[in-house]
Amino acid sequence: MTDVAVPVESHGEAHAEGHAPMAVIRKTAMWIFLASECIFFGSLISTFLLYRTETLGGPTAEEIFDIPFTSASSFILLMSSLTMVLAHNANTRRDPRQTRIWLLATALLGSTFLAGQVFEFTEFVHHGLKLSTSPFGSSFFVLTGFHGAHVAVGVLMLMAMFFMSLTGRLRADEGMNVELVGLYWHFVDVVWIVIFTVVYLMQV
Amino acid sequence: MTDHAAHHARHPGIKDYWIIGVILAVITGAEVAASYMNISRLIIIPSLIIMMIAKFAIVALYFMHLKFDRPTYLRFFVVGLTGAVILFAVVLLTFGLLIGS
Repeated sequence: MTDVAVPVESHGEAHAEGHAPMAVIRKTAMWIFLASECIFFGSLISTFLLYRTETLGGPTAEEIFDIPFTSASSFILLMSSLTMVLAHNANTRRDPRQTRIWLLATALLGSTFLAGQVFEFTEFVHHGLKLSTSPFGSSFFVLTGFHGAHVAVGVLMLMAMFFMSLTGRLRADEGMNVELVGLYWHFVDVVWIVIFTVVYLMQV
Repeated sequence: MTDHAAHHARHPGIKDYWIIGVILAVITGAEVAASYMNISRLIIIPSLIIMMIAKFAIVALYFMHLKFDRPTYLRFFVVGLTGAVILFAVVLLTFGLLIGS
């Protein structure tokens, strides 16, 4: 089976006639991966909720969380989902310039979120909350750290798409690539929507 | 909706995406405001959960195109979410009882 002869439609898929086109298979694989990621983050969030009060004399969530700062970070990540969907939309319209602008905007917003997370972690360490301080600290840093790692991977993929487009290697018939990176990016955003509410807002 | 019909459903345009972005920003603002309100946690916590689910659903349905794409993708995602919720419940009920939290 090959994807060479598959005509590209509005959102990067072709009709399934007799057999599934490669675009459908790749997108299905991505959704299966995202479903497995739901369970992965579900386990980390459950662990945090289990240990959120186990501070062993160290700082508590109420003492250490800076809600206005985290709210700003959350807003930035949320808006990066908007820029990502605009990049995908521009790509389906075969507008490489707009695609590059929105891909770069998404990567910059993602990088800003990561910088905020590094700053937040540094502040927490200065206030006495480390990975080994308490079960609360361990579960918090593992959960948010894994999420941050996912954002970092997303930023790398976005920059790869950007440079591929810049050097003409992201052809118009490769819209599926942008769509798959977009799905991953939106997933990282929905995970943060849950973390922001459950880990931050509900603990203060 | 069949796979074919879903495949051809109208996708949102640029203006629609901006409107959805504003709605998400407003809900986030409401979440933060609610967390600062000096009222019972019995009211605050369910409100925060409802707003979280609303934001999650909006991003998944519109930005991830689950509303317009093949229902198969939605089914896979629902299986993952259901697995996460079951895991969540089992972990909190079993280990929560053991730890006593």
